[in-house]
Amino acid sequence: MSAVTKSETRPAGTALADGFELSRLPGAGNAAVGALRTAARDAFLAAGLPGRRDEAWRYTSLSGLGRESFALPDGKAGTLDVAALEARVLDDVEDALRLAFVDGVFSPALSTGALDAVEGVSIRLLDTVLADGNGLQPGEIVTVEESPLAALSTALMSGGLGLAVPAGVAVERPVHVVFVTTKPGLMTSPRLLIELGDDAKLTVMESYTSLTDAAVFTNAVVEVSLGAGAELGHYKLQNESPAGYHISTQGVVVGDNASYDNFILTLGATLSRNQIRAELGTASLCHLNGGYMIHDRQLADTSSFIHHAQPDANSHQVYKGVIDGQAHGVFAGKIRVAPDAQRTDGYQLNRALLLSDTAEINAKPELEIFADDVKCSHGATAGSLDEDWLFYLRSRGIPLAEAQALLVGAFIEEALETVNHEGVRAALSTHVAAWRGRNMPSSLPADAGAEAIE
Amino acid sequence: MAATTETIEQVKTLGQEKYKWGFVTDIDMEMAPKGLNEDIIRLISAKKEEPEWLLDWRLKAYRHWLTMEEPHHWAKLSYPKIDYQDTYYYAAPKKKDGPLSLDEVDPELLKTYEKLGIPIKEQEVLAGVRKVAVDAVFDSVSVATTFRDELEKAGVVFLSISEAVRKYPELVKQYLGTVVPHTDNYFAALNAAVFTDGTFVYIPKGVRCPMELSTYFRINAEKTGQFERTLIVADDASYVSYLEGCTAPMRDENQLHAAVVELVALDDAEIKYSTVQNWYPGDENGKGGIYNFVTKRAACRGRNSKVSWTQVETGSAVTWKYPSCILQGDNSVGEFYSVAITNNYQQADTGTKMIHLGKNTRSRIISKGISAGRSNNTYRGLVRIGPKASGARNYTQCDSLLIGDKCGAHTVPYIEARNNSAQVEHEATTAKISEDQLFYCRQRGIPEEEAVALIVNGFCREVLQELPMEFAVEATKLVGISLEGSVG
Repeated sequence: MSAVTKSETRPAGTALADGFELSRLPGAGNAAVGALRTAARDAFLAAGLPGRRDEAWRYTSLSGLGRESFALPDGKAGTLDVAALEARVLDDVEDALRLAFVDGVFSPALSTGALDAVEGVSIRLLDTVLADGNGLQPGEIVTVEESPLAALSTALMSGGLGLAVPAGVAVERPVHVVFVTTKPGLMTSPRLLIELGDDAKLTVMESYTSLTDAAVFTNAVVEVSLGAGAELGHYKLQNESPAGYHISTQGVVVGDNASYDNFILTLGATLSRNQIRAELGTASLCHLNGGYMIHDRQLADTSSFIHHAQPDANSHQVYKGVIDGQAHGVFAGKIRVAPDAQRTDGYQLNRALLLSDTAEINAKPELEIFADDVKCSHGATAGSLDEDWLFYLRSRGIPLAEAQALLVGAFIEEALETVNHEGVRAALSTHVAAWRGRNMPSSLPADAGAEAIE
Repeated sequence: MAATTETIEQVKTLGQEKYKWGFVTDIDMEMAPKGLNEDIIRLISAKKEEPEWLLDWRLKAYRHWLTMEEPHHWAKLSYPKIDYQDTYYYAAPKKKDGPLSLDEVDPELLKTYEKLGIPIKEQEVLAGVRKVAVDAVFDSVSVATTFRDELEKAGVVFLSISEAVRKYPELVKQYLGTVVPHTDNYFAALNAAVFTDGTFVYIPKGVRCPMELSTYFRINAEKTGQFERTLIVADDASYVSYLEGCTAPMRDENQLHAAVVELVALDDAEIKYSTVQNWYPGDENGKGGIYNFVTKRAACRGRNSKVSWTQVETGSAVTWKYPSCILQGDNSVGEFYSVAITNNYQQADTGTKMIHLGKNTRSRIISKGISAGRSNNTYRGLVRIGPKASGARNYTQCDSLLIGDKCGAHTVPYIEARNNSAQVEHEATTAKISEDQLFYCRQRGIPEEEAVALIVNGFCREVLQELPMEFAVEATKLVGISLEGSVG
């Protein structure tokens, strides 16, 4: 607290870090963790929340977040309405081991097994990882310099897991990590550390939700390290409450010949941002895909940065968004091809469907290329539902509202098809259908999506 | 692979002698003292016998400029800090005041333009297929404007801007600074303060300009900056095609060119604006060359108005330029066709902005970037659909071609859509000349070098064909010279 004293000269939003004693957070016994937390807090206090003049935040204003004040988890989970929770996130991935955190605290009651229930993967609570300093440590991939929000999360991190699969081990059973916030005004800083040895294989699904109508703030950081030839399926559902803020900073290091398959479905939060940075090894494969469906005054921001640092890698991105009401979609995707990254293949597509005349999309797909033997392309479109498609359906007697619901379903389902894991795809698909059911009332069955169009 | 390697080699060997426009004309110059301050601005204004309002406007711009910061953080450009006090802001060939009849123009100047291949003697032009009226700007002033009588008959005003201020002050005052205000950006503010000449065009209602209009800009003197200002107003239902070309001597120093171009198209009017930018690009080690920091903007104010920008950018050490269209009138159309070629250490950050405000406005962007040597070539563009632009439509295509593994090609498009009946499409690709394309040509007996030429020409074709014929020929040659070796 000594770093800054005069409140009027402080960078915006630094009050978010006020009044917290870092020494009471997990890992206090480990000097390295203490130093990391302090450095992270200093970095956040020096920078403050990014403003609109910061190019990376040009379209997303954090001024609302900066005006809130939040409490840190106190180590006690609030009482939970299991039915409400199930409606928001628990369309469980078939066969998965579910590990749940409530208000930053691991909840064995809501989990479907112990930490060691899945053979082949070592799963440890963040507290343990911080205490013994073994395995992938916070800050190794998402450093304090990555962004002020990631720094804030690092300073305050608590709750989360370290998952590690040793070389050569393929884990079939997916792990589903659920983070729930129940207490109004809570700020959680969950952390996931995923480390796969050479040729290891794992599927991880993350779900985030909040069960309160008051403002809460989830400021997550996910760090992923994949050894040579490793394969990770990494999926996420963000379905925070309408007053929630959700910021996630994700760093991924993809080893040589490794493969990373990512999909994020964004439905909740008044303001959300998924920021992903992937560093690709030689001949690796990276899929960053996502879909978002927003309405009212929601803002959903996706920011991806793929760094082709080595030759022969292949990256593929498809992001599709449905924007209704006065909602606002933001997409910024950058592919960078380093001078020696020859034979890079990079593809990126961003499509936005504007359902109302007050919806807004801002997109900035960017290519930065320093190697000549490359094949890179990107595309971006924005518009409303195709009149011809609507006409096709209506000429067959389908009422307008239903035709629209069908087309929206098909639009998002197309993005979901990129998800490699069948169980995850099915779970996410259920949420898409539920969104349509809530927001686009139609008498047709909610899952009558893609098939009807073909 | 061989062809590409060879191409790289040939591109590398590209020497200075290839810039044949790099000579200096030895001519008596009248220079204002070096440096920039209010006195210099008063001096420029006095030299040009400007009315009070224009001097006030210049001073307002200058004072605003002092409060601004040079925009060096966002563009993908790096260059040493410019010393704005180490430049001459006014340099004019001595003697005559402004452009007079052709017989009175200094023969040294006529020779210069002859050497550059610019027809300022009318009879030379008459020998050609089509007539092109030329306004020749030499350093700070316009030295000759051709075909004035004939244009006057049609009611077309085609004058150097200094002369226009004297002859048509009301017309100039009505439009000057309305598209690019003096507060717009750092270089535009600087230009407003110190602009020395440029071209003014006014096409009256219902007139189709009987010939192509052209301005040829030449930087000659050392340590001078060129700050010209072009203003084109196309009144209701008129049409004009305007071309601009530019060259400069080869020098080790960097010279600044900070121009402003404003276009106004009223109801049903159309302006076609073509540029072949061939300022000295610096030598093969990146020494010298022009800093080309230009603000070009068109206001499509009228219903059904149309502005089409076509640019071939081969010169300049550093290019910072975004010809844009503000589509205010319903059904107005904006187009941007661009070929940007960078070689050696050249840097180009160029693109366009299409601001859709009116209903059913349409825009089309075709950008082709070719990078060779150690150059960096960036497309930066914005397509904005305002909430009231119902039925607006945009199509953007940006393609980049890389020749050699030391250069960079970048694409930075911004898309902002706030109307759901609008449609925005953006596509970008980056690639090198494929072995398949080369192989296809070679197995039909086309030598490697010609094959590369063919492919690069094909790559640019969509843009080059938008140029008026005379320019298309010059531009095609320029593409060849800029990448000599790869395009024969």
